[in-house]
Amino acid sequence: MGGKHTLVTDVALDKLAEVRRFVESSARSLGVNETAVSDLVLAVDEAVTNIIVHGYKHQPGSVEVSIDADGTALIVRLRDKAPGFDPCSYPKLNLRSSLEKDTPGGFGLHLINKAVDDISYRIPHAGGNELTLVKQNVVPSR
Amino acid sequence: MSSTLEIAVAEEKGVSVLRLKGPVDANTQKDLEEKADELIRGGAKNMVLDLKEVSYMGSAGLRALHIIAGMFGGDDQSARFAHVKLLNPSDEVRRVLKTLGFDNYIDVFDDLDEAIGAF
Repeated sequence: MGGKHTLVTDVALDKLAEVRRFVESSARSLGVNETAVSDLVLAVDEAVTNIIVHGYKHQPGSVEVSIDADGTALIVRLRDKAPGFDPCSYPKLNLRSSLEKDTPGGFGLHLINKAVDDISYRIPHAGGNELTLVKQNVVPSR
Repeated sequence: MSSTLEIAVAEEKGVSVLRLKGPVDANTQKDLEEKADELIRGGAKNMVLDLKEVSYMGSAGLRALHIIAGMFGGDDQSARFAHVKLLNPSDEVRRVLKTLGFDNYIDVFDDLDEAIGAF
């Protein structure tokens, strides 16, 4: 139990499975229950997909995924060097009207918002992007 | 946990049954769409997607379902989704379907004969 877990990987869609495995094993090692592990895997997969597709626009680069406990909360930080991309600035999705469209969008961000309790974005002093996802009350008290 | 998606196709009582194995994510979404497109161009009228061995499905997988339903055509989304049924999704996939409102459009079954009989 315990300790910060960090993965740095190239941004490529075929790396998503590696990212999901990392989140799953890190969250489990911190004692997170399986339902919350699934939520975290989903949220990080969607966030990293957004970084690859909307941030780097499929150009080469890397993303750092770090996972740590803060009390009973689990904190995931995603850091990348893509041009500024703030997913929190997008308007909330209207599911029904989106599903009626021929090319719906916004599903990923909607899933992230449902899977975690808090999502925040900032531009670090060194540049790039930092997205923080917080899931409350999932890490057992020590 | 593999990063590739395997798709095995069988014809059962006039319905195309696609058995998926692996993740349906942004990396494999196109593989599913292309297989469905190939089958529909070949004359498939209805499709069951067996998700029993799907290890992961997020928004990319649901976008693929939306696109496949659109390939069948129809006056509205309900008519388009009527050509696609899902079989044996995990609890995680069911939660994603519900969170994105797909449970209002697409029927989910635990039994293949029931899924085929529902067309």
